[in-house]
Amino acid sequence: MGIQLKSVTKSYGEGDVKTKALDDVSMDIKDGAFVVVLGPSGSGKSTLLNVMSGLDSLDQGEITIGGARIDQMKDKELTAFRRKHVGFVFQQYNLLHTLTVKENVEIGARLVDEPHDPMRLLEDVGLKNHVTKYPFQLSGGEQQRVSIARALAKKPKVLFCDEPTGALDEKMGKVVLGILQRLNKKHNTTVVLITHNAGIARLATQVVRLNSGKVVSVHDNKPVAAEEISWGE
Amino acid sequence: MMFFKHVLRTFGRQKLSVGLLGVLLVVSGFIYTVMSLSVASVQNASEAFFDTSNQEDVVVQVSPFVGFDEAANAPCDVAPMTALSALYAADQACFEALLAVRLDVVADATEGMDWEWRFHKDGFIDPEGKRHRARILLDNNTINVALIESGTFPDMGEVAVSRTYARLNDIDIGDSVRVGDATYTISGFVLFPDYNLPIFEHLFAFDSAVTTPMAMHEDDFHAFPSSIGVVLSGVGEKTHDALEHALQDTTFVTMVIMTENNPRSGAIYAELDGSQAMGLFLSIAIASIGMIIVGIMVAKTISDDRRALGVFKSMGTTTREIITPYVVAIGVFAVLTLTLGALLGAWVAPWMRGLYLRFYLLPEGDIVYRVSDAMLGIALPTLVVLGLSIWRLEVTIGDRPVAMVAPVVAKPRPVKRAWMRRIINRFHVLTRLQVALLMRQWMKVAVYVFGVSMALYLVFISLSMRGVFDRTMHDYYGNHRYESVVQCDIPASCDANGHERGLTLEAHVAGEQATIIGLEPTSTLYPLVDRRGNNLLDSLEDGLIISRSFQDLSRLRVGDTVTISWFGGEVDVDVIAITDGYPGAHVYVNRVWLSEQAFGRDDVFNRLYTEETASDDAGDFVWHRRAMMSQLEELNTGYRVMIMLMVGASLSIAVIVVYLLSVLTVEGRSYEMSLFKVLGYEPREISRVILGGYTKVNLILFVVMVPMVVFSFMWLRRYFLEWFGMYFPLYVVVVDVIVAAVLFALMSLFGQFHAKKKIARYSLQEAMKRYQV
Repeated sequence: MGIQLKSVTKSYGEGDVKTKALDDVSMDIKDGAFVVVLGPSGSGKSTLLNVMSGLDSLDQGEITIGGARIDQMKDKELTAFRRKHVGFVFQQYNLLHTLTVKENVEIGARLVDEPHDPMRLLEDVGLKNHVTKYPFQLSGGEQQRVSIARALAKKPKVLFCDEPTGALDEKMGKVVLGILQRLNKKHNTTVVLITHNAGIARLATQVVRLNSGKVVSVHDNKPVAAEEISWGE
Repeated sequence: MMFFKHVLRTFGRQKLSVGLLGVLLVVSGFIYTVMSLSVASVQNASEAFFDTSNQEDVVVQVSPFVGFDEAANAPCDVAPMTALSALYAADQACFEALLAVRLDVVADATEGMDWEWRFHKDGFIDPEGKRHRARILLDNNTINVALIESGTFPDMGEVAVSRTYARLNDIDIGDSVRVGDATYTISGFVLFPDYNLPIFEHLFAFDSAVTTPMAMHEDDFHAFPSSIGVVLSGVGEKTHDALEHALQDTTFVTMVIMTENNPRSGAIYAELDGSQAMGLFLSIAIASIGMIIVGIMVAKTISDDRRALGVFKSMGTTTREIITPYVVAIGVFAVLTLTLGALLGAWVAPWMRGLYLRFYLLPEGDIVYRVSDAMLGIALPTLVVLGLSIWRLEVTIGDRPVAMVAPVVAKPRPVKRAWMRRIINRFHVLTRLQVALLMRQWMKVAVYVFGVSMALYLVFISLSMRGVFDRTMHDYYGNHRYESVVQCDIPASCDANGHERGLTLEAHVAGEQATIIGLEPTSTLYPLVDRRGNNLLDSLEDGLIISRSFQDLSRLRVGDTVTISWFGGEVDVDVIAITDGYPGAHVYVNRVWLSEQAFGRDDVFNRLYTEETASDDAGDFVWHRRAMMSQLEELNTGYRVMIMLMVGASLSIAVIVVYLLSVLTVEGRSYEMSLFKVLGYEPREISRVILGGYTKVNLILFVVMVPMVVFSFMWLRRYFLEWFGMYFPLYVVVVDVIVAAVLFALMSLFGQFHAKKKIARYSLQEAMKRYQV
């Protein structure tokens, strides 16, 4: 599912303290792409992800995902859209600690009629032997893998990842990225990943650089395997 | 100063919840103060009155008839089964000699006790053409001595009435009033310390606006043309059981009633002692709920502020600097709201005292606000609220700053028991989530369950209190069809021609004291119907019919065989039906049968029920049903105001508690609700998953509460009947259950709706950053 942004603007604050988080941002993300959005702190990465995924509204511009104008959708329609097409992976995992690993994935799977088999997904992310554990019994990397499995369970067309390795060390971070890369290819899921870690950009098929709310560059890339990237470059 | 601003703004964000919490505290302070001040003013004056008047400790009720043995051994000529009042009218000397013998018998059997006869007559007082009831008591020498509150004790041609009656009827000392057929001058205001002499047949039918105790000169008393009543008043240390044991072979003794347990004084004692306790209990109960909610709100506010507090702490701010603004803000809030409640309570207390004095014959004391009232009504609840808040703050701030700044990820409590795990694992994943969310925060759930249970109980009490007095007496008399009841002596002193006859005796039925009423099975004036309205009079030929109130007391069932005993006789009879209505401990039999069993012949009666209004000289005493009902209506109005106040207070407390708990519960789940929304769940699904558990808890609570309330009401009815002879018909009827369910659902849904609307305004991406699962 491709994503198109046309002249997207988003500001915070009012009057003198009004700050433009996104300033006339346009881009075209191809169906099945693995996009990495790079930029320093305050460049507008998180805002871009939030408006692109429909978690936040925009002031001006157009956002189209798979041909649907999500900027024109009402809250109820956005919820339905997210339910059907969009998955999220957060920096802090955002798992439900009251449920086991398998149950956390089932929460995602039950949203659609024909989801992935949760057990199969957990096998894919290397957690086959941890299904009955609770999140607090897992390491950070393992928790993030549960979060990825949950996001993919409903077969989303687009996966938004907000600094998915931000809380992980290099080894665990590469494992997680490797999984994302593999699942992107296997299921042809469009992945949009924001990070300040420039090394991760080498995984991408498309790299977007942001600075002060503006798109500095967009270029295609020949991806390398996760284990080959330089961490924290 | 910055910290103060921070705290004020934090609480300011929850204006509605804080406002409702304030209402809760105001109500708490109000209830405690109004009960405490009004009761204390009456209680202190009453205790002094009871001491100086040498109030009876026990009353022995005696047979109103001369027994066969007594007649045989009497110091004068008297036929057996002659009514004492008839003997008094015919031969006062013989009457006094017979009572002297009875007193000696009782005194010999109960060594260490002092006894004195108590005489009374009933009459009418007609101030300015009104027709009110008066119970004229002959003053005693040692026990139950009258208290003259103002003026003097009556001389010949004078009477004294109660001060409350005089005030409510614009009567002053020196005024003239008609009592019976003569005119008397009011010499003063009087009170008697015995409350075992109800003005009417019904124990509760006493209203100082239309009835009064009266003192008369002894000669006037004896000359007054009315039937005399006697009881034996006693003072001493003996217990009820000891007295019953000592008097068990004394055939003329029908009942031994301790003052603390007797129908009127017991109720007064309970009211006096209990009101303060009840006021205290109520205010503490309400304040406890308030405090728990304050605790939860403070905990929630602190949790929301956890990161900010962590930052303050990491900057080197001391614990005291962080805690002080919270303590000051909460303390000032509690003191202000509780003081407002206390002021309102002090304002209303004189009115409440007036209500007590109208229905209880007690002396009036001043309303004084004491230090102890401030301590218990304001200081104690404030300290508890503060203590709870400080404890919660200490726990939160006790963490290391780095831990406070980091997201809170609490560990769940996996179900350890295998059988439970097996059951839970069979549930759908969403049900498992509901269970997990409840178990994970069991403390909050426990608070919710406690608060909602209390609120539901208040709702049921409020609903049941509506029309409670209509159910007790008004409906009862309203269903009767006679116009007057004429009281006659035995042997018959009135003309029964053309009237329905009745025979009423005090008796023991299945070991319980009861009034046994003999009726004609063909009666058209005194209906006996069951709950479905079927006529039961026809079946009177076959056995005993008991009132629903007596069934509560005795727990008898249809088909049981019971023993009825009265002065010297006893007989076994089957219970054949239960009649609707709440007249107290009443049972019904065929009059002819009762006459034969008690007197050995079939024509004895002491009541006449008349279709037309009877004249006042138709018998020894006559009372009129419509007049009785209009007095009850007036009495009811006073109680209705009091009950409306209680119902209003209870309902508003219940509404506030359920609303606040619902809001707090929903807001406590804001993270999970936001996460589910991000994942793509629809609002309805989110409600089902996150709040569905609470809906089930509500449902279970409601289903469990209904039988609990039914049982507790059953216990209360029995308690009041057993200890005070007072029937308090608290019932849960189907309509009340439906109304309670609707009210409860509306309260919960309104709270949830309000909270969800608030959560909907949260930014999803910000909610994800909170990550407090």
